[in-house]
Amino acid sequence: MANLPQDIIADILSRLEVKQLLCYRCVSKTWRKLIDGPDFIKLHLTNSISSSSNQLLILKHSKNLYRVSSDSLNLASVLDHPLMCYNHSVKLLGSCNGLLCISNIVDDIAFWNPCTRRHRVLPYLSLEHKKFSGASVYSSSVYGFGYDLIHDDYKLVRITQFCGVQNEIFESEVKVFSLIRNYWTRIRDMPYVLRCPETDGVYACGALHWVVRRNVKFEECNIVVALDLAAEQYKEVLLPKFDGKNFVEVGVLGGCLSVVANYAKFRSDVWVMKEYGMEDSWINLFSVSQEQLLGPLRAIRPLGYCMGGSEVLLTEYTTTNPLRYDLKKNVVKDVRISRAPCRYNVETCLQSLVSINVNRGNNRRNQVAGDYAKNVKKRDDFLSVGFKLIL
Amino acid sequence: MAIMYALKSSDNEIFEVEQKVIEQSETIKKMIEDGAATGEIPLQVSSKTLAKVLEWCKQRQHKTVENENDDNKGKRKKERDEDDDIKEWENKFSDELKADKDVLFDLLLASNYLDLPALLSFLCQLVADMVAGKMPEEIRRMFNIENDFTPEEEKAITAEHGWAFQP
Repeated sequence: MANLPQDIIADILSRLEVKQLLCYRCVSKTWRKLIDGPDFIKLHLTNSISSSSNQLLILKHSKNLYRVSSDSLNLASVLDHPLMCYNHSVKLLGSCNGLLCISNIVDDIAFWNPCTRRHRVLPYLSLEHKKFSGASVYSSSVYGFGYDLIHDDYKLVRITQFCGVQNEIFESEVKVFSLIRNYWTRIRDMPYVLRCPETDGVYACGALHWVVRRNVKFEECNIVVALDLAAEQYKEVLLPKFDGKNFVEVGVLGGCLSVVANYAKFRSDVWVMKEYGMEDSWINLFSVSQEQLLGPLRAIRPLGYCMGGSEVLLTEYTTTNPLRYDLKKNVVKDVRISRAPCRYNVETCLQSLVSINVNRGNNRRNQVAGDYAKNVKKRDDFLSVGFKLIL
Repeated sequence: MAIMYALKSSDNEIFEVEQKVIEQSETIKKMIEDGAATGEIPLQVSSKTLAKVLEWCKQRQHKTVENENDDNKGKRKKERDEDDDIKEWENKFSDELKADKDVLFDLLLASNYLDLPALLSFLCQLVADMVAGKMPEEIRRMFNIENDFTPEEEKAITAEHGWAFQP
C-alpha cells in the first residue's frame, strides 16, 4: 500500500478533534513532530475557524465552568479549570483561538487552553495610578484578550478608569501583558470613557473593541473604539449608517466584527463588517424584533455561529441565558442544554492546539520576540505621531 | 464538437476524455496550455485509479453544465433535488472507496499529483471520518506506519496527555 506524503497527512489530521490528535502524538516520531509543529497548529486552527466547526460553548455559573459542543448544544459537562476559587466566582475575561483568559477573586489571571489542559498564570499586576485616590473617585477595570497577528503573540489588556463622582475628572490607565515579553507594560491611556464599565473587550481581526463615549457626559454614546494589538494604538471604527436613535453593542460573528443597533424594546439590527476596516463592507445580516420574543427585547449581541453555522448565538449583558437565531427560518429559539446550570454566562471557545508555551521548540516566536524588542523604540516614536493625528 | 484528449495511464491504457472534463486538473490544464499535450498525455496514474478520477471529474462537470443551463424559474426546487442526487452519488462513491483502502490512498495521491483540490479535500475528509475514534495502533496499521518509539518513550508521551486516551 502506498504511503501518503506529509502534507496530505497534515490535511487529514487538521480535520480531527484536539483530543484525538493528542492521542496520535504517540503514533510515530514524525507524527509527533507534525502535530506539535507551529505550522500544523495554525492549519488546524484555520480549518476550525473557516468551517465554523470544532467549537465549544463555555458556560459559567459561580465557581464552575461547563463545556458543550456548539454544533449540538445538547449536553453540558463540567470543565475543571486551573485556578483556585475559594468558593468565589471564576471570571472569564476573554476567549481567542482556543485560549481562554480566566481570573479569580484574588486577581490571579491565567491563559488556559481547555482542550490541551495547559495553562500559565500571569505575573501579578498592581495598580500604578495613585493620583486620584480620594473619596470622590471610583475606579473600575475591564479586560480584553486577543491575538497580535503581526508578532504571533497573545495579549491581555487591562483598562482601569478613574472617574470623579461629582465633577468631570477622568483618567485611565492601560496595561498590556504579552505572552512573548512575559511582562506587563503600560501603554498610552485610552482617550475615551467606557460606556459600560463592566464589559470586556471583543476580539476580532487583530484588535479589541469597546463601546465608548468621548467624555463623561452622557452624549454621543455610539462610538466603537478598536485597540490594535500589534501597534497598541487606538482607532475609531467606522460604523454603518443607522437610521434613527439606537444603542450600539459590539460582538463577533465568524471572525468578523459585528455591531448591533438596538432600537429600544422594538427591534435589533445585527450588522457584520465582512472586510475589517472597510466601511462599505457592513451588511445587515438579520434583525430581531420584539414580536419574535416571549420576553422583553433587551440589548443583544452575537456570540458566534452554532449548529454548524445555520444559527447565531445571541446573548445579553445581563445574566439571562442566551438565545439562538435560526438564519434559514428567521426565528428566535431558546437554548436548552441538558445538565447545564439554570443560569449562566456564556463564551465561545474554539478547540485548538494553540500553546501557551512560547519556548517549546518554536524558534520563530523567539525570533519574533527579538525583533519586537528592537522595534519597540521605533514604534513608540511612530505611535506618538499617530496618536496626535487621531486626537 | 467537443475537443477530446487521450490520457495514457501508467499501465498503458488509453482514456478518451473531453477537454472540459479534464481541465479541472490544474496539472493537465497547464500541460495543454504549454502545448506539451500533443497526442497521448502520459500520466503516472494506474488505469484503475484514473478511471475513478475521471468518474469524479465527469460528475462535477455534469453539475456545472446543468447549473449554467438553468434559468431562475424553479431553480430552487431543482437545486434541492440535485443536491440530493449529488449527496447520493457521493455516498456511493465514498462507500466504494471505504471498502478498498488501497484504491482510496492511490486516489489521494493521484488527486494531489493531478492538482484536483475539490477531490483532495473530499478524500481527506473521508479519511478523517474513517480515522475518528481509532486508537494509535489501528492508525499505524491503516497508514502503514512503523512505531519508532521505544516502549519507554511511548509510555512517557502517552502519560503527557493520559486523560485523552479515556473515552
